[in-house]
Amino acid sequence: MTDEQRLNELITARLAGTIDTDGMAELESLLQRYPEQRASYSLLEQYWDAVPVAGQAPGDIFRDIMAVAEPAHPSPEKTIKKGGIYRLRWYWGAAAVTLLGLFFLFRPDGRAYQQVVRTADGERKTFRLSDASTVHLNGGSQLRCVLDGSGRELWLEGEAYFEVAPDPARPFVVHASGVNIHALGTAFNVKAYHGQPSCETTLLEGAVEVYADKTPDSRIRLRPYEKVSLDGTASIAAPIKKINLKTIRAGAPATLPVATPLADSSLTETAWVSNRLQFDEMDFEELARLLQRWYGVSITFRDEKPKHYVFSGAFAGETVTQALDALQLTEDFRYEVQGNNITIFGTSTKK
Amino acid sequence: MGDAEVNTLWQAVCGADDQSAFRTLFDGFYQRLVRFAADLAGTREAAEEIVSDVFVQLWKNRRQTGGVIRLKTYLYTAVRHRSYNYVRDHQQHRWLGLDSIEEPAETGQHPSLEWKELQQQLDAAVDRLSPQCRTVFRMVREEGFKYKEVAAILDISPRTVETQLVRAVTRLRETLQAVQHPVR
Repeated sequence: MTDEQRLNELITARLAGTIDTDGMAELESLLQRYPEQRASYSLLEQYWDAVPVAGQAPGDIFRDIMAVAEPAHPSPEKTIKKGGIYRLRWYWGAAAVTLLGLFFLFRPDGRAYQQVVRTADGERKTFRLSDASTVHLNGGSQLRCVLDGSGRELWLEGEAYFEVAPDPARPFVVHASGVNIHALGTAFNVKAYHGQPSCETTLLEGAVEVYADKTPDSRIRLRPYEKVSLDGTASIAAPIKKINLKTIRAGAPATLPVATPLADSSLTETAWVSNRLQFDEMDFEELARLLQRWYGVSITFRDEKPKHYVFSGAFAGETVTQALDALQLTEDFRYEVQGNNITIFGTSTKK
Repeated sequence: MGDAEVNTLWQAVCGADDQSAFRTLFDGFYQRLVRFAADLAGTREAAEEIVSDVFVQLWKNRRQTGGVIRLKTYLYTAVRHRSYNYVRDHQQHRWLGLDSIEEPAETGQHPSLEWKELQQQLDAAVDRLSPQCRTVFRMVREEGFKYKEVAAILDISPRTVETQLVRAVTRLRETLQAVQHPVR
């Protein structure tokens, strides 16, 4: 090591405050040997100590934050009367969060009530239930919620991500395609589209128990980052697939104290919550179904070959044509757009 | 804001839902976190959104996180995670400007510089460091983090932190020498 390099190391240690007495002595003797370095050393020290003062944040930013973090919601009784659904400002998703298609039905006694939230294809919604749980509803889905003093029951068709507010006195149960998911304070994703053979539950945090209508005694308990795929019509409930996320978890320090990870967007199962369309080794036919729901378009294949192309990737802010253009970079196909209808065909089958 | 003060305020937030303590913490950290996030995420707008989001989550989760965490490290770690997610999600639209490529320091033209000008030259040299090098330098200098803390927050080894910091100091010394002894 040259004296110059050593000097850099010692000055760094001095500035960062990690230098010991031996180091100080060595630095001093080096500066005596190279007196011309002393001026720049003291200037650097002066610069190091002149830390720019960070200004204060404008007050309105704080107000915005508190408006989201602590929505001024009334007591549960009042909530019931008002309908109790709150729009959560969604910083991450650029998707417009709308509450159209939201219905309230009141029981005669006015206590328990039912909410139904629907999304069209291409639409995603985020909303807050009266118990402070948050639900993200993916495109082409419907969720019916009944929340009362003794329990929280929800019926899902489609896909939703739940961040459940802990309340041991009121169990939180999601019913989807003949499968029941029993949750305590927890975050999990349920995917159960009509026509899909099974109901997929992915747990991000906490604990859930999953069981089929037919086999209420055979319950599967998931640990975080496990996924279970369950056919509600089958007679035996057995986990089909476990997902292993060691690589994703390794990046996070073990002490990371985040209590509610906002739907881990590095995970394919929940990427949609962060407004990402993510797919791994999916054939084009299946991907097309995903794109239909995501963008609210209709996609047809004019010939067989492109259906079997396999893609992996992710889209965030792209339009459907940008997405298709990107897919064209990997595989050879063409497409035509007519209004909301997209036709995909191989390059050899020109009109 | 010292560690002890941060800790007291944070306990008030967790234990007593003290919004004014939360406000004080927010005022103390917001701009610094935004600068940190801007370094990682690339744009100021994204940085502001990331930091706001971290504070939203912090307030919401205050009871679960109470007591067990060192707030400062937590905030920087959370901002880093979100910044990386942001960069990953926006990768296809993000281009590195030419000026973000590391270049040798400019040779100063002025034999004697006022302190203010010198400071600006050094600030510019810091801006020209590689992203990781710059982030490490700022965290140690401006936030007073220890190597180990920087390593934990950025998820790199303490050895890398040290190497990067030495690199930054080397570059700044070169800048100073060029300013003091311009090439004629």
